[in-house]
Amino acid sequence: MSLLTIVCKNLWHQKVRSGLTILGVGISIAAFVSLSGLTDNLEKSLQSTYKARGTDLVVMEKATLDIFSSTIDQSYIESLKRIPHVKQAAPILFYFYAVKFKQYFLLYGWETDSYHFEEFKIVGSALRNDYDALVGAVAAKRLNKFQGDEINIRGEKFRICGVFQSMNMLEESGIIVPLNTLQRIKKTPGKITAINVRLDCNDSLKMSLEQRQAISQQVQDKINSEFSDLEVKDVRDFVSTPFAIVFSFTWAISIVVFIIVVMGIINTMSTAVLERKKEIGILLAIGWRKYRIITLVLFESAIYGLLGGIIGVILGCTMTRSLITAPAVQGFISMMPDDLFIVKSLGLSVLVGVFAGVYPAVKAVSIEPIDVLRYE
Amino acid sequence: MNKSILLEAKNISKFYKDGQVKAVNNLSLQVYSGEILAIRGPSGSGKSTLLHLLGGLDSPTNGTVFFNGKSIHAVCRQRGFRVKNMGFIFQAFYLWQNLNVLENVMLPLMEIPLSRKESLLRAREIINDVGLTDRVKASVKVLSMGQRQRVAVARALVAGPSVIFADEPTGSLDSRNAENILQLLRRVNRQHNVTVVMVTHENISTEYHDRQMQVLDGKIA
Repeated sequence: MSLLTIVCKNLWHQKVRSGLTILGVGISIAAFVSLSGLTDNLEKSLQSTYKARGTDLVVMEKATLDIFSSTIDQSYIESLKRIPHVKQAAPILFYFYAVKFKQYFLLYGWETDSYHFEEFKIVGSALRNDYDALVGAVAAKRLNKFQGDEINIRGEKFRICGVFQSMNMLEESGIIVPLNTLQRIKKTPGKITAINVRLDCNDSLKMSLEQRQAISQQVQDKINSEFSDLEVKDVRDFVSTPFAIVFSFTWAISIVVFIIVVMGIINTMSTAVLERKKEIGILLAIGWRKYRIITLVLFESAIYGLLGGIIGVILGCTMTRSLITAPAVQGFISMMPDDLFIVKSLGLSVLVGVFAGVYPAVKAVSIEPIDVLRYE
Repeated sequence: MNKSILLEAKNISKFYKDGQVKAVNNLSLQVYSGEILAIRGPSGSGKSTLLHLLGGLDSPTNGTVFFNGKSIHAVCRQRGFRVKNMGFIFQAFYLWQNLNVLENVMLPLMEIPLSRKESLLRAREIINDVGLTDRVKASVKVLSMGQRQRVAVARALVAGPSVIFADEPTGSLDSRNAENILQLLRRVNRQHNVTVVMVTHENISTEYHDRQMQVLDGKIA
């Protein structure tokens, strides 16, 4: 007989209580999986886009909470281009805009010759005229628009010159118009959100990673020292910045979720230990070591975590599936949580289960056999 | 009967409430290897406390208990000592309600480095010995009181202890089942050459014990 047999029988013996605890853990883990899974995907998606495009640094307004709050002068472009090792500097302007009721799209203003277009697959033509718009494949589907159709943005009519596919769904769910046109209709001439910077060091295959990092740091230091109102970030550190608030909320909710899981398991396991006080006392009396009692309690807690985690992952993926088809967010969320994230979530759930079992385990080994027997 | 001393209590006392309650009072006794010692006494006489002290479950306020000449508290700290050398039977059985007969009997074996096959074999053998062959997979919840106590006896015996401490083993049983349990204890005592220290408030027929002592107010009467 193994400890697993005892644990399974203990859980089965209190079916309702075990079931409710597992369900409680499952619902909490589902919330974690659906929220953290989405932000995890968003982060990975952004990271892969920046890497594939060859952007090394992102320059934005200093001390802003996230990139959507950033506004800087376009004139910085020329100053940045003069810094040694800066190969290209591309301005970007973007914000969320409701083209249709409750259907939000990311509206981008890019220079028509921006290096951002390099990896694009466009059906139709590139941006040539002031009122040309390139619509992402996902956005085109949502809007039911095709090349040659018209689209109304802030009261101005744009002609869809092409439909594009890029490297991430966030971009594909957006609409790109010429930068100067967007500045004009937004009434922010000469203002942009950020500047994406490519360095020349990445062109040389002979250069080691350390050398590239040293050059990147050198450029960052230069920008930081010369432009007091700008903030520069390496794309590896930058990817979470655009959605800083979303990520912060996700973390906060995740912490609350895990506190709920811990409290739920502690409550169930403490009750179980109290109910089995006599049995535990007798096990100690017949010679079970305290280590084995601790293992038994922690094992049971871990099983709560594991079973709750499995239910949570299934529920979480189902919730995510429903969420990605909801009209308000359709297009911004592209993928289901990946396998690694699911394994991490299950591992985390088991770890939280074990952690929650520590207090009941300590209570269990503090039972003195003689105290149980004395009041027989 | 082998007359070597297995357990020896030397001037042991157990006081509660700052000495106001003297559960065991300066008591000395010897338990010989292979015997059944019946400790009799009315409720509150201190016999259960004496049993707990002899089994190393409780510490005496004064005096020392020796197991094969060594302090019981020193040997009980050794890994696996208690499970290999001592078995316990209680009036209330104290079986693990969620487990079946076989699993309950196997509990002490989890502390002994045996293969699963060996553990199963040994547990089944003992279950056969106590006459529960046909109930091996039954939940202990569905067993009669007598059968439950048989499971407790099997659990106490399974690791091959040299002594079994039985605290009112027939206290929860009717006379027929009580007789059966006493017969069983006598049989396992002879078959397995296991020493039995039994506490009871009832009179026990001389065929079920080798020696009897009366405890009254924490002393041997």
